[in-house]
Amino acid sequence: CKKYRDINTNPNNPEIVDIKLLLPSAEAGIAQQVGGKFQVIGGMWSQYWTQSPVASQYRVVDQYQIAGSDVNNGWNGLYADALMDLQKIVELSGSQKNYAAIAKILQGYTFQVLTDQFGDIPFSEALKGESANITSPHYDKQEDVYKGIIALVQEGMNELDPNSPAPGTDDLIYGGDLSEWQRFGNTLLLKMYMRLSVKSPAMAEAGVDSLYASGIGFLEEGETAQITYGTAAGSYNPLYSEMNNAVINQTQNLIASATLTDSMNANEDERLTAFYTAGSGGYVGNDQGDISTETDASSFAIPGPAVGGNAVNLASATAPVLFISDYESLLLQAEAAARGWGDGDAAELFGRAISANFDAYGLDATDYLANARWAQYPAAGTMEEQIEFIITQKWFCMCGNEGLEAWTEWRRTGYPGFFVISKSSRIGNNFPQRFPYPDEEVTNNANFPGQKSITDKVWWDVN
Amino acid sequence: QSRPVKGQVLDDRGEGIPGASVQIKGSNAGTITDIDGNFSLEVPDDDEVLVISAIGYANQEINAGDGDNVLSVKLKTSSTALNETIVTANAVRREKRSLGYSTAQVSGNDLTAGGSVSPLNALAGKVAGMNVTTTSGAPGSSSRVVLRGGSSVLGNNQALIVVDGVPVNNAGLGTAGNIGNLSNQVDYGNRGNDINPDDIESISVLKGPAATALYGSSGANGALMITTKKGNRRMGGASKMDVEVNTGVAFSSILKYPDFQNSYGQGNIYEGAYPEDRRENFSWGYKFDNEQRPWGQVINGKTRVKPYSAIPDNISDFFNTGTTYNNSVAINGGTETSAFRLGFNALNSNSIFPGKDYNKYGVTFNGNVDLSNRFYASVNFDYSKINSDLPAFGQGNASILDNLYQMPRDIPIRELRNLNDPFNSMDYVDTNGVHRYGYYGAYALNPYYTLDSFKNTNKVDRLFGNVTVGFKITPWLKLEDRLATDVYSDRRYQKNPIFNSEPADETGLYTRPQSNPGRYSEDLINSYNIYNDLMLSINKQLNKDFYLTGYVGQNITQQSVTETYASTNEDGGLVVPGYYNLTNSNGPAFDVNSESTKRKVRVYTDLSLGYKNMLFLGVTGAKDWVSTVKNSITYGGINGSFVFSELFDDKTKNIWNYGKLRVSYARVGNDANPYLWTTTYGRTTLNGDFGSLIFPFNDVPGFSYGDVIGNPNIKPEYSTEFEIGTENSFFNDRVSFDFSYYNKNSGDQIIPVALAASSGFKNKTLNAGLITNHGVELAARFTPIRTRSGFKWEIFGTYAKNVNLVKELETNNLSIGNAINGATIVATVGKPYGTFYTDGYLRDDAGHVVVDATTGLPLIDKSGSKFFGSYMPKWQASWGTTLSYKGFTLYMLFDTKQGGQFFSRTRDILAFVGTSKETEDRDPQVWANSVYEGTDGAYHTNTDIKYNPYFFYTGQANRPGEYQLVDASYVKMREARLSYTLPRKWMDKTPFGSATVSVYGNNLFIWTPSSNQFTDPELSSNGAGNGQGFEFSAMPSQRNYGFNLKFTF
Repeated sequence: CKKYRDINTNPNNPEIVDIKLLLPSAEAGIAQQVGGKFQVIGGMWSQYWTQSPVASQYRVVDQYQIAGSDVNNGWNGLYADALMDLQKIVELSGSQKNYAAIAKILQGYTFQVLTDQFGDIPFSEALKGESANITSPHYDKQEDVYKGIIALVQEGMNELDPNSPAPGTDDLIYGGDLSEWQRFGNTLLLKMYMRLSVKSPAMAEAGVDSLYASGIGFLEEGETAQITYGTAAGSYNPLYSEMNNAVINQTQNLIASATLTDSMNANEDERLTAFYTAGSGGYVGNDQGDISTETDASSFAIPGPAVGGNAVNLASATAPVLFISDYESLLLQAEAAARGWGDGDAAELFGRAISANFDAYGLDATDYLANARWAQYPAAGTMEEQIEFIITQKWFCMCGNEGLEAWTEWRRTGYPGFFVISKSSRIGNNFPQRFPYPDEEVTNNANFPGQKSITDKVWWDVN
Repeated sequence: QSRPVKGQVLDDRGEGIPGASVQIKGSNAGTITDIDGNFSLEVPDDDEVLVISAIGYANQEINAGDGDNVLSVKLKTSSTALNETIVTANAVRREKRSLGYSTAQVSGNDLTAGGSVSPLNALAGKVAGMNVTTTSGAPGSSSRVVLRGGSSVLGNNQALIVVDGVPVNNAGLGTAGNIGNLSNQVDYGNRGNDINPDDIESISVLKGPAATALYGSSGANGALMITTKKGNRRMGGASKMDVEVNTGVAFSSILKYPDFQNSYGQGNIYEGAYPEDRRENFSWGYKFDNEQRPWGQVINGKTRVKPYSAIPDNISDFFNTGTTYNNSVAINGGTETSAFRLGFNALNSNSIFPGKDYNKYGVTFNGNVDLSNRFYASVNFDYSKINSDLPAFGQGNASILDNLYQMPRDIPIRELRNLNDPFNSMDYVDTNGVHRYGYYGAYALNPYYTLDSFKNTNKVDRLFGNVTVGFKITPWLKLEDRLATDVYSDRRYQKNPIFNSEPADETGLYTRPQSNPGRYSEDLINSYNIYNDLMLSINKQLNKDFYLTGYVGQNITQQSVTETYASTNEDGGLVVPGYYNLTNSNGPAFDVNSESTKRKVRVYTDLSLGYKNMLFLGVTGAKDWVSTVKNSITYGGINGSFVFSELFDDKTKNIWNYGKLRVSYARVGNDANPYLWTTTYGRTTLNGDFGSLIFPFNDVPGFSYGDVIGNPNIKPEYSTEFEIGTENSFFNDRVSFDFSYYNKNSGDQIIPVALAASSGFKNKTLNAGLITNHGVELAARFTPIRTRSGFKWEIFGTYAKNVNLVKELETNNLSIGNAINGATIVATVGKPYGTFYTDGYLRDDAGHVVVDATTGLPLIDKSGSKFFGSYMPKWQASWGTTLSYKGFTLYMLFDTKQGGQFFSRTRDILAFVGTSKETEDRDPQVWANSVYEGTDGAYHTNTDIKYNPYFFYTGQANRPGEYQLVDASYVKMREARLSYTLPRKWMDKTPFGSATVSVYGNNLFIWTPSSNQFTDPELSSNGAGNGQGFEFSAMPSQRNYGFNLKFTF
């Protein structure tokens, strides 16, 4: 009788799998959210894009009133899919130390994405629902999360071991190149310390100095950490797949924002042709949040296939999702140099970053470097002017492909200085400063500390 | 030595009663009457008395006589079951008087009175405490049967369906494209409706755990014990065979249309550049002026012209009158030691949706034989086959209603029918080879195109039945084994066309292309169930006063389901138009398969001790070992019945004929689903808000750790129920009633408790939660007139009130239904099961709606979602009447549910496009009983700040989810029938035995509160699932009426 009943082993799902299967799932899982819905919100709040007046899918984003329900999928995907799979890699890696190392570095990257948008988040008690039966993790202060992430990434970098087996094609980002992972970790830490440059300058400076002292170096040209996508349905770039599915059915919700197109046009910036597909009016954007003109939506430029944003162009499917780009790395180094940290040459790094960005889109930066106003690095200017140039140029570079980071850097530095309040703003003359916590976390976490207003700044944001 | 005794059993109209039991008192020997009520029986010389019994009639004892005369026995109808027998658990027939728990019985005749082709729908309004919800009443549609309110948070809440002692799977299965998938919603039905009502002898309704403790984990929600019609044994001289033919045709139409406005037509005069926009699905245009105006696109220099005026019937013009042909033939034959019934049924239905159809064919066979004096055997099986093409509902291109209901009030639907006409086409190729659409609307599809090109076919083959062999050890002890199976294959195919069409228009107004990626999917479900019961039964008069009846038994159950679902790539769709095959997938095809098996072993007993046919004590007990929980489950109950009228003197008994008091208590377990013990990995699928990424990704495979934490310590759910009730009848059965009070606690609910995703998981399966139900049930019957001439007038009714409460739940607001449009159906502590949870209007302390001080529009309470009503009715009742005279019978049944709410997307979409009646008053107006916030921060009564209805109705963000909640109360004329049985003497000269002609109808009329101008509140987008009360552009319910001829020869 006992044996007759002993059939409750799940025949449909395995109870154990190789960690080689978890790494690509986790990497693509991060990209799915950062390059998908978060890219939409980031792209609109960094004023690259605005909602098309003839559709309405993302109107709430332009209205600055996204709800907790708008970020459920992003939060759940990062925690329950990506971070948890990375956690299983750490648990199961055994002698495969490089898997655990990469997993920790990627966990650090992911936790930073979460804390930058949400502020205080579960960190020290996170991901322990099964292992320690913690089903309602407590929230850690952002300051502690930052310290924790830095320690975690350093731990991962220390565990990278060229003498142990490395991943292969299952590492979608670097194909198992451990030295690139070292530089990715170092650049990630640079990005983190730079985020603290205003809030905790002493800590930031000491941290940056140690990164330079390690001799590991940072991501160089051609070392962008990214995942590339395919034209087969189910392998689409996440932004493109948000538009190209049976529900949304190729509706073009995103169009160019005049904030970006006006300033790029003023600089005769050729990158417009890569970041956008021209409308009947050329590379012209609509005013941010303006839904009053219904007649001529087709006159506006729309995000181009290179950033995955053109709903009817299949080339959008193959746009990559960037984790950290080479030009981002160069601009972080430039900023460090401008602040007098590390030992780089800010002007040189600034120029290299622009060239790298043009290169990434198959364009030639020569004319732009020679003529454009925002390409003329104020080597003789004040540090603040230099930082304004570096961050504003970063904003141009990240157009459409790292919207979340561009908006986050705007929150840190206030640059570009020419953002406008969305015409659809429902919060008056204010900008959004964070994401609201997701509904499901509010409902399901017994230790949830309380919802925040969208205008509350996160801890490091003292600008 | 014995003598042959012949006779006929008649009802009070003098018609023969078929299937009546004729038994020799004090023995098991007996027979059953044939179709005309005739019987013949060898009666041993020592035996004198025959006991005659039939469902719905009082038992009668007669002297068998010496065999020289043909006996004639008239049975009196009995409503209170003075001596009625009831089919109880394990198909064991018991005297109702001995049962200490509430039961009800519906005879086959009552079941088929309204002509419903669904045996479950036909129960509506017939049993107190039974809540039958029909999705549409169309043949093959789902039905949900809940007794005494919901008791399981996420598990099954429906009554167990048992046919001839064998459980029949009534679960709604399926992956996608099944009902519940809101953008692609097809009601493939649930399998409890596969039985042909004409094959049913009776349905016993066992309402609580006390009655069904023997089914343990399956019977916690009560049971419907269906007994199928059997062949009748015949003694020498009786005709060996007769044939019963039942033929009829029914017509169907929509029971309740939304109320439409007829003042304004296509366009939008409020914003935008084209007030007379010909592309629009909006009816927010100018007031009708009856002027000739062009409409639709300009193609080859031509355009169509029509008067700008309302077409009041332009929605109903779309539908056909549905027709259903229902034909059954049953052959009934027997000898002295064997009998059989062989039935055939064909149900052919053409839907109210033009071109859609549903066809069901069935064969049933019941046979029984005495192999010797001691051995006997029987076999029952039922095979059914379904072929159908069903309409889809919900949202999006595949939904017919979604496209139809957006049509402006002045569009002539009938002119859209010819799809070869470029003006109606969604996809034609012009002379330059470009695919174009010429249909007038740029935002919706031609509903005829949806009908024509979106196919949802379903093929079902099902076989269920059992083989029984028995051995009579002694006259009072028998051993019986019943081996049963229920096997079915349910195949669902969906075909959606691919098109990418540019507008044909030459004016430049139309710029928007219309497209659909196309789709093909197969959902193949196979269910295999095996049951074996070995039972030892006892029926013994222990001494003068005590009588013992009951059984001990052992059961083995295996239930398996396999499912293979495959579809072309959901986002990429099809490559080659018109080619529906998985190889035609644009991008990787999606496929998933699963198998699920549960095994149980059970030992059980059910014993009843009677004292002087007056006092009865029943005990049930069982122990289950189930593969899905680690420990065994023990359950059982005790019940007592006291027929106190046995103590009355004859004088009292003449007035108060029958009185019984009953009380019971029982506890049952409800086991767990398979495979909850471990956390597992699965192939990685990464979901964004809409799109998804599916591994293998760029040829790299990926697996991901599951989101549900496994729990090896899962315990079974339990329910305990206490019940007390009474049955009474007075004045020769002319007044009778049956009353029950019950109190049921259902605890240790198996729930996937939602976790904070920051824990790394989304759910953990736990035993958490307690639901309570208590309530009263009353069934009554009154016969004001009964004359010797045969005129009879009966009135009957039921009332039930159930109070349901979720007492404990280790999680917040557990969603039990779809969360869409911001509304969820939840279980939450302190509220009834099935409470709506959504955002509402901002209100002041006195409950007045707060409006915006500038726009006059009502404000939405931003503090978050709130609880509204439950979908469960506060109370329900039914009442009916039967008038009979000679061969004529007129029968009517009404029922009502009061209280409860439903969520109507129909209301939402009609308001948005401006076609509903409520949008007709378009003058700026003051929101009734509203206040506004003054500059002083206080609320002031609003008398003059007017809102523009256009902005309220078209601005979906201006309307909270509360707007879509509608009072679900209704009164329905559920059934009616007028029948005439031709007098026997007319038939004598014909080959026919009897003939009855009837006109009948079901779901005939509905009355709803004036606030419900939208749909029948019974509609459900979740089929028979727990998420009731959710009408997401659901299939409309149908009125069915027809005529029918039944005759024998």
